[in-house]
Amino acid sequence: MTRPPDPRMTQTTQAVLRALLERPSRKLYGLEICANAGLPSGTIHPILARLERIGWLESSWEEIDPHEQGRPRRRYYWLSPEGAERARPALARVTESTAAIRRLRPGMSTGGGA
Amino acid sequence: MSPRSGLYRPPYTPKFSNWLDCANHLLTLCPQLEGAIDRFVETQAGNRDTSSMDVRALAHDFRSSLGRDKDYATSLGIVDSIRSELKHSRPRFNPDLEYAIRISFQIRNVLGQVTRRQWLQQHFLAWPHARLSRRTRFATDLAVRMLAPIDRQRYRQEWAAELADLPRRDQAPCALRLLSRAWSLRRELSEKPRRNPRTGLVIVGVVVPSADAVAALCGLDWPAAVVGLGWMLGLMWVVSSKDRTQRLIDLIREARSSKAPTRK
Repeated sequence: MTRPPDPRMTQTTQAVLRALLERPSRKLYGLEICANAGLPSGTIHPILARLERIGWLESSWEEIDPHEQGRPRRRYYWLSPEGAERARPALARVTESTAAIRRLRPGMSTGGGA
Repeated sequence: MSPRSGLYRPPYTPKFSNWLDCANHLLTLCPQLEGAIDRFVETQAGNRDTSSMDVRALAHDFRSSLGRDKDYATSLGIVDSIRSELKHSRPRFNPDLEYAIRISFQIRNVLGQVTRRQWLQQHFLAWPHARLSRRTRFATDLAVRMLAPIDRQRYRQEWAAELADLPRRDQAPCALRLLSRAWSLRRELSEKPRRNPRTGLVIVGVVVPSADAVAALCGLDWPAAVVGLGWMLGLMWVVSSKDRTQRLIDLIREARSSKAPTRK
């Protein structure tokens, strides 16, 4: 079985992956990922969906009784073992290529949006 | 105004917008009820039966339950007991008794509001949209409706849980950001595995109309421009999916191979 290709490594994707890679075993929900990645809230769900589709992320509902806690259940995300294994080299490659481009054209901004 | 004058009419039970007003109102009604019951029992000095004493004790319990313990559910139960005792008290048409019944009715209504609100808070804060403002709810609903039906329930809950954790002033901007990205989320959720990037390059090479072509179209008469534009859009449509692109590439290869000179 062939592995799905790496996702497009936009700046937002890189920020999300870095936030998740800080503690790969820890489960985070959307707002925490946004805060850790330094992104405005509500901007990361397409990226999370993309990473989940290619198997880098896993997610599950929080196991609480919403009536007891007085709030809705959160959806938690964490890196799958394969995701953690592939995200690190992918980020390293992007960092390398970005640095190379910056060396060639110092004023040029690299990377794209979400 | 004296309750004995017969002109006293208790005001319509008000609706309270905050807990403090509600509690204060109850605390003002509580001594009125107790006083009315005391006066009624005093007037029945020669006819002290056990039910009158019970009502007095209940009124005292009610005061302590409401004032000291702030236990609204228990207070509601006590008021109900007081009311049923007062209803069966005799003689009827005693002004103090009537006044006590009216006051107990009013207290019952206010306590009903309080306990209902407590119950709602306990049970419905967990409801996904309970803590969101109307604008936020509208934007979130719109964003959810942009998703495929199969994904709506999940994201409705997920977004509501995230928005509920934000301060109220940040909820609406966040909901608008969710709305602005709902379409790209839908695309991500419905996307099949990515096409081969090399095919993409071929597509770009074949399809994207050059500036010269556009300029040439602009220079044509309108019927010719329409035909040219239609041809270009048709070509773009043909190569817009992977299968069609592959077919086009095969066609180009076939054409090239057929044109290639054959060795004799």
